[in-house]
Amino acid sequence: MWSRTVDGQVLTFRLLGVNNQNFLMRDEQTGTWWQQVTGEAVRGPLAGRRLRRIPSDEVRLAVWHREHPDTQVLVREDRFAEAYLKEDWEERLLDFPAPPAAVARSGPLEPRAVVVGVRVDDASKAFPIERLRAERAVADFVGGVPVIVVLDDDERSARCFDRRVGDRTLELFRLEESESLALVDAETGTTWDFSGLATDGELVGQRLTSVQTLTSYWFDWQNQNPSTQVYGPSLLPAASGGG
Amino acid sequence: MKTAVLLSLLAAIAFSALAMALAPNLLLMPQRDHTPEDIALAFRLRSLAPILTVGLAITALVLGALVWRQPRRKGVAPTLLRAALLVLLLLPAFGGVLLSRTSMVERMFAPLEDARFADPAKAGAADDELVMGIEVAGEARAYPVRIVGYHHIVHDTVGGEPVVATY
Repeated sequence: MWSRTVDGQVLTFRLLGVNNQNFLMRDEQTGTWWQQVTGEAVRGPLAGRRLRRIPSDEVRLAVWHREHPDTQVLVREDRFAEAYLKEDWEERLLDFPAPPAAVARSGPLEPRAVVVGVRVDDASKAFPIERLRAERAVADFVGGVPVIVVLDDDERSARCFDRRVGDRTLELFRLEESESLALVDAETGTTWDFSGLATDGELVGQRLTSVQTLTSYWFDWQNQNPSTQVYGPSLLPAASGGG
Repeated sequence: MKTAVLLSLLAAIAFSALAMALAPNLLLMPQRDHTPEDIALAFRLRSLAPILTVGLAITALVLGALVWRQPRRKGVAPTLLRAALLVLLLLPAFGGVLLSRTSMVERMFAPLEDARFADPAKAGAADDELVMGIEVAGEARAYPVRIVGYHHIVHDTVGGEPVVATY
């Protein structure tokens, strides 16, 4: 999700093609070519510039609506009904081969393994969705920042929060007894929900700070973040962890 | 034979025009590995193609006129044959002119002009459908992934801010 304003000029974009299975777009105002996933201009008059990212969430409509009762939703148009992604689009896409070079270097993960990617400053880390499905809440560090990555009940929507509240760094765990995803912190016993809101306990009413995530295929994340780390024991040798 | 030489030249120029227009599209197709050089080449071709293809098409037309004026056997058939041949060879030239001005990938993924929004109950998306959600200046918007995943680009203005949803 990007802001379209660059140097005070509002841009409109057209689809151009694909660059290693991530698409390129061209703005009509300057003819600059932009890479979709990074928002970076790769060719043309504004080359080198970056679009400003707007924090976005990728969750079920029911969850979004609950948290934003007045939300408006992009309408499903009849004339495109046949063209829209099918319900099982994610399964279908698994059959589409990733670019050969990306496959060759994909290493410990399958090229099309789904990962929840988190980037903090220059540090990146990929959290394989299979691990998230197993653990539902993963407390970890990205670039030295304490975070927790949580997976919603649909086992597909992920969010990441900064574990620092005020002066504290919380040790957060998944609340086992709760059917719906909930967290509890060891120090104060406060419970937190999937929106990062403290629902009960000493810190009730406080909010965890969101950290932007990007759910993508491992090969694409790795392509954009060559020195990414991967969450999980002994998946990558220490030497290639980088920063 | 002069006609044969002219025809060969015409063919070469006409197909060059087509190739020049096709190349950027083909370079940016999903299955390949793309290098920065590929992107640079595609960019140059795409920038030059609209003008170059016109130049090539004009040259092709001139050559076509020259071919037409070459001596030929008398009769309807030879005339028709020459006409047909010329049309066939000129088509790639004009194809190139047109193609250099269109985006092949947009034929596969139509852009969404005039995006409409509605309350969740009326928008047509299921409760358990994945959406991209944003909130700007207190205004919340949700973009179903199945929709943005098709158009790839959806323009909007949220909370006064011009934005673009991409997937």
